[in-house]
Amino acid sequence: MTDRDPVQDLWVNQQSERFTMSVDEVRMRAGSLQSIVSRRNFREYLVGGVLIVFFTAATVFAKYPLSKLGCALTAIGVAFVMWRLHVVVRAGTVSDVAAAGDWAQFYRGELVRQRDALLGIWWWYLGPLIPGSIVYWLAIGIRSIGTASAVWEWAVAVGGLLLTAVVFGWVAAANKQAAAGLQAEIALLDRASGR
Amino acid sequence: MTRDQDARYADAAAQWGAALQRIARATEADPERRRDLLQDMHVTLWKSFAAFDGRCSVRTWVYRVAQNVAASHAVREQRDRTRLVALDTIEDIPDATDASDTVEAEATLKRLYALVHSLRSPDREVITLYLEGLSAEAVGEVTGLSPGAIATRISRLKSLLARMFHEAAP
Repeated sequence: MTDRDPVQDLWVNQQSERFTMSVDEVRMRAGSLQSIVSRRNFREYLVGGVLIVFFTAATVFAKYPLSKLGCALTAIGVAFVMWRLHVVVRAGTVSDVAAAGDWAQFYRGELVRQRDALLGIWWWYLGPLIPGSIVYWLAIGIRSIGTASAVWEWAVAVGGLLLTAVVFGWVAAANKQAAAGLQAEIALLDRASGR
Repeated sequence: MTRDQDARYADAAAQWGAALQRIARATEADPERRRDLLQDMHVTLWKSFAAFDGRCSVRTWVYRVAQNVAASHAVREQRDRTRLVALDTIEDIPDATDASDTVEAEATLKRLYALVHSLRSPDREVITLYLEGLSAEAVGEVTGLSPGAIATRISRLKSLLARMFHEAAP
């Protein structure tokens, strides 16, 4: 190539760290869980697992029935979120066929999948956690009815509900903003690929 | 089929293994995560050869797999995309150097990687493939981007590189 840029030569002739994988090693990794579950996802699974154990234990040890129900619903909600996360991660694994398609088409698919996951956060992430949160905070107020500390307990319950609403609202807004960013990226990609 | 798949993978890994490493490094700055990404590239490449139909060259196939695995990695890692910029917004590049000396060549490479890491898609992919020495047509085959979009980006990059090395723009 006569008009080859010297920087291209520098780039392709750079020293790389030593890395080899035998066919057997590749085959072994292809069949292992590690190829599906990255380190980052593993951390999320771990946190989810800890939360499920915590709320299950809280369900067992809580004395007031409505508190038990709140903890049980939260444990179920977290389990649902973990299951959805697992589905999303599996769907994000590069398939053999898509792997060799053109980049723009493949990348667009990844962006759309990510955008839709962010836009659907109410049904697969926040929504499943709402029943447990509401019941848990209401239980604090309801169990105090007729006691001397009822006003204080209801203040805690209402405050907890408001705080939960603010946090969930903030998470939803942040995700909506991130989804808008992805949509802008999709539009840019469509312009560049002439789609 | 498995023997063909194994043989194709072994040949491709021998010929394009270094290119996979460069693309992994252009995508992921963290060494540990880069190693994971590189392993994913190799595994996906091996798996993909089960479906290789010869409709494109092995080189195009390998680069597509590498770029697609890198794209999947980038989306999954959910980096802060607002930090990334378009090629046409980059104005200043610190300390132009001559690429002839080994030490300065290393510094130049570091600056090149810093540049690539700062770019948003599809600029990053076009620039990486250009640096790999692919023609505009070959970049189009790998990326699926329009010839106009590729030409514009390569032209901007050439001007940028010329400024980096104090050469006259082509």
